[in-house]
Amino acid sequence: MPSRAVLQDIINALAEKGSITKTQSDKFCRYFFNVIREVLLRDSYVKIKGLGTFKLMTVNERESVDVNTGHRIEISAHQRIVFTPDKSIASRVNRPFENFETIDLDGPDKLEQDSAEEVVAQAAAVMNASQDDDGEDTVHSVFLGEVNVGEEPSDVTKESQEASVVAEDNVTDEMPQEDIPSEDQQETEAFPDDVYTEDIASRRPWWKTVGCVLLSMFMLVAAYFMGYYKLFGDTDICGLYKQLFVADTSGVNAEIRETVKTDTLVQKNDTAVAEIEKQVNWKAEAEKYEQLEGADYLIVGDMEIHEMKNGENVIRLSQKLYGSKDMAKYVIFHNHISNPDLVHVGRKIVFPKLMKAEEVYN
Amino acid sequence: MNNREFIDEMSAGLKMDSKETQRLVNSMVDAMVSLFDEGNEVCVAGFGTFEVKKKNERIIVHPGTGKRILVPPKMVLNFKQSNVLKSQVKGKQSQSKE
Repeated sequence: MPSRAVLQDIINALAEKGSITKTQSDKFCRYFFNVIREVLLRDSYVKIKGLGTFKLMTVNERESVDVNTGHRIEISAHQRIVFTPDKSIASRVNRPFENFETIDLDGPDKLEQDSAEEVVAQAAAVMNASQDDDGEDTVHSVFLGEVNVGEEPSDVTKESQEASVVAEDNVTDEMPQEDIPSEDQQETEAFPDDVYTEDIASRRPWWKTVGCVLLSMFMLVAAYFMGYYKLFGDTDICGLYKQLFVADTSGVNAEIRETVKTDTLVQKNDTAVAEIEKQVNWKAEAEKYEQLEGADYLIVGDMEIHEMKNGENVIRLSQKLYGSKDMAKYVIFHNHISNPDLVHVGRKIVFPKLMKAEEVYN
Repeated sequence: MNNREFIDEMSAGLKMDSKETQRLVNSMVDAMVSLFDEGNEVCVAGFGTFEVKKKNERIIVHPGTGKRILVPPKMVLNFKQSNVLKSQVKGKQSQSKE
């Protein structure tokens, strides 16, 4: 079998296929290519059905280097023939490889991506809806469950998990007057989110993870801004601390208690519980200490003794311990610090336990 | 020049029916394809060479989505103009009439 066929081979094959004599076939084939050439030179464009398109393209002049001499030479503008095979002949030629398809290497096919977008959109919708009304949590979870019935059954549990995350967000939404420092919210929220993302990542494709990460990021940002604006709004931080210190269970939201999990607060909570057992008389306690005149809060005991380290200052510590810089004045007063900007390293600072004056006398 | 005009020109020159001409052109293309299938390159003296080349599979990155896509291997029909035709075409002034 020759690897190179010439015009004569075409002529023979055509004579066979077209049921004409070889002479006719010879004439036809030669004329065929002659016509193409002539028309190409005349019209610079020939389209032949079943074979393809011959086109004359202008090549712009360009500079090149003579291979032998190394001199720069200019290749002048000229024309060249471009052949574009017809679709029919291209597919016939490509028959050996026709059942190959392009493969997307980066993961899921288009269908799954669409459903991912759907899920993300749903999550966003749920977030929006839940901010309006938290009584509809069950409705949301049912809704999500229904939509994803077509997928794995484990999805339902996942969705309910999502719903619970949403529910938690609701809880934080629902207490504008309780006012919680933002770090506390973030920490507690981070815990279920971590479990959630890890769980998904272990068995779901990347887009689910991305959805979850976006969701949790949105929640963290929302929580941050809630905490931030409330600090400058109708401040009632000490109301919360009062509740934590006294452990007035009737006033304390169960969720809040769960939410507040930073070490210091847990510590305070413990002392608070201990003290309710002792049935401390706050008024009597308050009278033991020297009080700052005209202040909203009374010093009712010692909360923590802190030894000053390099780089620390009273105002920042008060921000850390009480959640507000405004409380620094009680610390300064309680410890008789003359210059808050100059507290020596190693000095032991007693952080007083504070209560709202009204609470003490009522 | 499109296909109909080409067939008309052919049939006029060969004094044949245009339908018959189209039929012969089709069977000629068939003949060429069967030659390609046998692994030949078809060389037409004074015109050029038709050759089927294998393009290897390759990985491209979709510029819009940034996704990597594996493009399968394929067979492509190439045409290489002969030197005679090349020089004829080269000498031709680029048409500015159109």
